[in-house]
Amino acid sequence: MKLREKLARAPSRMQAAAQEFPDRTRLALLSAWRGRSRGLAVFAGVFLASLVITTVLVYGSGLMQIFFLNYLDDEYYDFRMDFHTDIGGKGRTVDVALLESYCAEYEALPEITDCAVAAGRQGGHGAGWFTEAYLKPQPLELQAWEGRDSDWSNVSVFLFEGNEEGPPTRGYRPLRLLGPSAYDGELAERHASRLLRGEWPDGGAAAVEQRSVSLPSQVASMADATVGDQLASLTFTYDTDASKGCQGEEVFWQQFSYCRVSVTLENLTISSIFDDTIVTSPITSQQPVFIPWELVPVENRSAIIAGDHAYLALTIDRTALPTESTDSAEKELDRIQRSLDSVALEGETNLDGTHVIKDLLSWLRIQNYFIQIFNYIVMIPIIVLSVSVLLYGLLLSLEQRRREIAIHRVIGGGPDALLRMVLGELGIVAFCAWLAGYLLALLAVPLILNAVGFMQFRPGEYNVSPSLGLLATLATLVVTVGLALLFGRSRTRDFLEQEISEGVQRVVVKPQPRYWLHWLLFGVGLIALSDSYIESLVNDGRLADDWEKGIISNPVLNGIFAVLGPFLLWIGGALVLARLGAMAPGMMQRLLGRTAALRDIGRGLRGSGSAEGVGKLALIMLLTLSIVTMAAVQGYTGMAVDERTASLAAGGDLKVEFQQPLDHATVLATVSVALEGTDIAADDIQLVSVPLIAMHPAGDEYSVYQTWVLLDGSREVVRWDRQAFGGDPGKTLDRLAVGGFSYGEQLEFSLGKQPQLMLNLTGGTPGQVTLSNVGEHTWHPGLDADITTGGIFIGETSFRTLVGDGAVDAWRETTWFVELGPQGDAEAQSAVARALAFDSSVSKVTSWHEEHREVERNGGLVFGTLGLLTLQFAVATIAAVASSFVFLSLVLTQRKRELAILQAIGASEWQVGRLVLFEIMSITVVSMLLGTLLGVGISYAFNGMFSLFGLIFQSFGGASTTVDRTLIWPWGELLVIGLAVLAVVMLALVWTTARATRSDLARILKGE
Amino acid sequence: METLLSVKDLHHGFGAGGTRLEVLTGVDFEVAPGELVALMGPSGCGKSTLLNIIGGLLAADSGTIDANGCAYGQPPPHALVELRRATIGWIFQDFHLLPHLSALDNVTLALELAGAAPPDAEQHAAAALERVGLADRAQHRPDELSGGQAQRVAIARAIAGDRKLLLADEPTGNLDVATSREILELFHELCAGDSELSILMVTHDAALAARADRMLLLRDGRVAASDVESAWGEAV
Ligand SMILES: Nc1ncnc2c1ncn2[C@@H]1O[C@H](COP(=O)(O)OP(=O)(O)O)[C@@H](O)[C@H]1O
Ligand SMILES: [Mg+2]
Repeated sequence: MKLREKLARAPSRMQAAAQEFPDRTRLALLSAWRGRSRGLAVFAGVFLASLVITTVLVYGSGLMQIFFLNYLDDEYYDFRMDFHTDIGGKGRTVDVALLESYCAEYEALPEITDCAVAAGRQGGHGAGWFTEAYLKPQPLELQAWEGRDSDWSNVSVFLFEGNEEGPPTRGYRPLRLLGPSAYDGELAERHASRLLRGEWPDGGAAAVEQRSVSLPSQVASMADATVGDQLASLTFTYDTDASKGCQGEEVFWQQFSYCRVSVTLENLTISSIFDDTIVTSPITSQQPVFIPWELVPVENRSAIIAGDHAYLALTIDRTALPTESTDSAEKELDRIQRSLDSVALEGETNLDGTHVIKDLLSWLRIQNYFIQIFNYIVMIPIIVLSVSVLLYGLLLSLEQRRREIAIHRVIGGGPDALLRMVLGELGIVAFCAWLAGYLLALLAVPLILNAVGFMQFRPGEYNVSPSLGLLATLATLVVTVGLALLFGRSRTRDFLEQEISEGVQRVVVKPQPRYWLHWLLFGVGLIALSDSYIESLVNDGRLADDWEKGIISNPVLNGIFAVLGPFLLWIGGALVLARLGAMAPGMMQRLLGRTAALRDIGRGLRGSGSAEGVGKLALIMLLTLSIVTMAAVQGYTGMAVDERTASLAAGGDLKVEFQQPLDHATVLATVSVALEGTDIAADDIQLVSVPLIAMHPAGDEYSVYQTWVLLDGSREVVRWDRQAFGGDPGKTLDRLAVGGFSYGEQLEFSLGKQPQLMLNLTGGTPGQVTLSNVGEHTWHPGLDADITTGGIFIGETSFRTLVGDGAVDAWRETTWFVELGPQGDAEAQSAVARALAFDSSVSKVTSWHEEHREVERNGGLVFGTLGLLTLQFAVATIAAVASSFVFLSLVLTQRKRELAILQAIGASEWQVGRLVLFEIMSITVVSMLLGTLLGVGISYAFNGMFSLFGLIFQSFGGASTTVDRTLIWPWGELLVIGLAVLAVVMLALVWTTARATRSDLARILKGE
Repeated sequence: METLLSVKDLHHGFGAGGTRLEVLTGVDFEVAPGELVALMGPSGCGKSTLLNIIGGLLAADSGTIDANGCAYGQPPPHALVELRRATIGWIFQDFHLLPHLSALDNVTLALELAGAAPPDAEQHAAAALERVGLADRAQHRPDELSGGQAQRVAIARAIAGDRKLLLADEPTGNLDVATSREILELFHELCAGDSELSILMVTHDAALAARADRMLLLRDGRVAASDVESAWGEAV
């Protein structure tokens, strides 16, 4: 009944509302404009929230595009056409020529630029991720190979990583057969661009004639093979149609059965070696060996087609793909796929198109999902900050409207009308703030994506122009403006109620803050902090390994603490410490009360901390300054981690791997030649290798230790860092040089407790040394950490004692580290690296700078982290400044009367000014110091969380060694920021105080 | 007659142009030492304005004031710090105590602002509280005091610096009848004491005004009468 009445009235009410709407909006606009100074704080709060939320969203889409483009570059083809049915089904063919002829049909489509027959992994037939059927398709598997020019017996065909990452396979190195047109046109270009050495055959005929094989660089280096070398034989297997009886071997794997046939090809020539280090998603991480399709006997080719291994590989013009978002790119690919599917083929054959990045996209989405979670977590403090600025801004704006509200009430405006008036104005201000934040975010995101360090920017390789869809845009609007209105509503209600009751009874009982809750939050946060801090001490080698897990050993609990702890610490710490900050004026009075500065006004500072605005000023200073500190610390730490990651890969300026072990003189000659065209003189450079010898304890020939010799030159050439030995590397190197040894983690059990070790050289001359234990090593920059953790490091003196000076000076090694001297900047490094790569004796060159380029945007975590931290830093700094303005106005508005009273009872302007100055400055300075202290705390606490995410991201990237986040403390920068904020507060203070003291005393005292 | 305060031809108006309102249009009167004077008049006639000018919180448009040898009138409030420190004490309807300070601190602060050394100031403040009968409430904060007690603290604050003239703008406006009487008693005691304190008090309460030594009626921007009988005769 009631509902019906309401419904019946609704149309007329809506009509009335609609009629009033323009009028109301006009009024609200007018009042918003008139009250623009009081609306500023509300504006600031909504603006910050909108900026941050939009930025993270847009950043996510930008990141997705960059990853997309990056991964796209790593794919050779864009579409593959598979038979619609599985093995033995309808609409298939086994006719090799017929299948090849289909290419012409597809190439007739305007979008398709190239098409070739290829054979490799079996068709997926639409099986999605996480389904069992997804595991069924298998690649062509390499079973054996035999070299002619070099020894291949040790070159495994088994990919150990195969079972660890990505979709499970049987773990053999895959093979891909390429039809003739993969050797010309677009496909040939794409292959050629990935080659490190050799040439991509010029056309299908040439490929067959050369009996060309293209090897992943990993295989080539394992076999020590180079272009032109021959393979005597290569055997691979395929699975085929067994419906008419299996001619081969029946194999069972998982719950599937396969009929497997093997083929052996003979006399193949290595025509090229390609770069297989490009880390893509696990889907593409297993790099195949490429062989021409036509080298396989035609009957096998038919069987391979029947076994569902063969498909058509198609390319499109990638530059024509839309770049504004991954979704639009995907839509375009879907459209092309539909037109491919609609091509009618001769012989009723039914082929399905899939774009190869379909899997990639779902993979990217999962990864991006984690990244987004991480980003939002990182940005939570800023959201909290902007909400608190918003809240206090609201309070200020209401406080300033007290009189206006009173007048409205007197002339008969009920609470509802007043509420509507306030919310109308708020809505307008919030909307403008949202728009400003939104637009700025769109501008800021490219900058964030371009961040190559904390507060450092350089345009990236991919030019993306991320934007936000309509729905997401509306979402940011609803969240920010909605939040403002929601808070505004409740705050205004409270305020109006209070105003009314104050009129009646004057004394309003304010609810006591829940201090126990503040302490609880702070306490839990402190536990998380100590856990994280202890772990960092262990990592830095300053605490025994027994403490490795910190004080919370349960991994789940540890994770929860790692993620929640920093926030609890931050908020709880700010709440607890804010009370200390608010007490600062009282402490000042106690300290300086008797001095000339405070003798006359000191008493006025007593108990001032209890004033509401003062406590809030302290709180907001703590919240902002701690985030400023944390962002700066984590930003600089991230940069250090990136540098360390580069050092870990490159070792020195350059890491040069030769085809054969070479001695110092030869390497020097080779590198000197490569210096041509740069400013580097041959005298400037230094070289060092890390000789590898085998040693065993005296009297125990069976436990052999791999021993790496850290030559004296390594101190200069190798980029050492604290994580290598856990602590100062210089000291450890000193001790190694005078007859020490360090051991890898795997030897901790056998060597960890031995103070001395007597070692004999295994094989060769019978040398013996006694070494003292200098502790554990984590890695040697530039060497594979997985291997060095199983061996020991010794110094040059011990080495010379063992093998003699002559042997040392003539020592040959394949891997050499190069220090290019003062002229060895980024450009020179790249030039020398390029020149060296052309040298036939060199198999691989890694330059520190290029390694750094790969990771410099990560901050040790994930692409763009440094940009986000920069944003956080900037926003928190702005928030600190903006909120200090807001609070000074708030404090002074609330205390205008008090200042007028002081003047009425005889205080001079100077005294009032001094009083305010001492009060606010003591709060500000103390809160800033406490805020920085809290920032130090949350930097440690956040480090636990960052390490956790770092682990996730690094495992996404397939890294085996995780780099520690040892914190870097940018005190200088923090001091500058602190002084800047202080200066701004000072200015604002002088300005607002001058206004307060010059205002109409009589009017204020009348008690408006 | 010896005078403590003399006001001559005081003019003051608010606003400009068409909305200008002339509130005081030539006020003349004098107050003798030790005198308790009640200032009455219809609401909005300019009593507070007059008091504000005398108390140095507002600058007059023209006219002169002489309080205990200190001449002023037009100078702005921030130039009259010395006047408020040494000569004139204020008592407000809303008491205007500093909420976070104790009664003693409220009084002491006023003395310290005027330059007294802290130990001296505290002694004098305690004595002033004693005079207003609040020695036992010295450590209480304003929200722990009754209205009458709070007003006594405000009075203690005003008299603590040996000031000669107290200005009280509706000092009993927020108090009940009995308390108002007590405050007036206190005023009488203060005026009668050997310090020769004078009080100029605005009030709407005819009964209270009747107990003052003299009454001034402010009407049409001028002081219309200066004794009880004639004032009542014209006003009623
Ligand atoms: N700051 C001001 N601006 C404009 N008009 C004022 C101001 N202060 C007082 N007035 C006006 O001056 C007149 C006298 O005010 P006031 O001295 O407060 O009166 P009273 O105290 O006698 O009630 C009133 O009409 C009032 O509206
Ligand atoms: Mg008045």
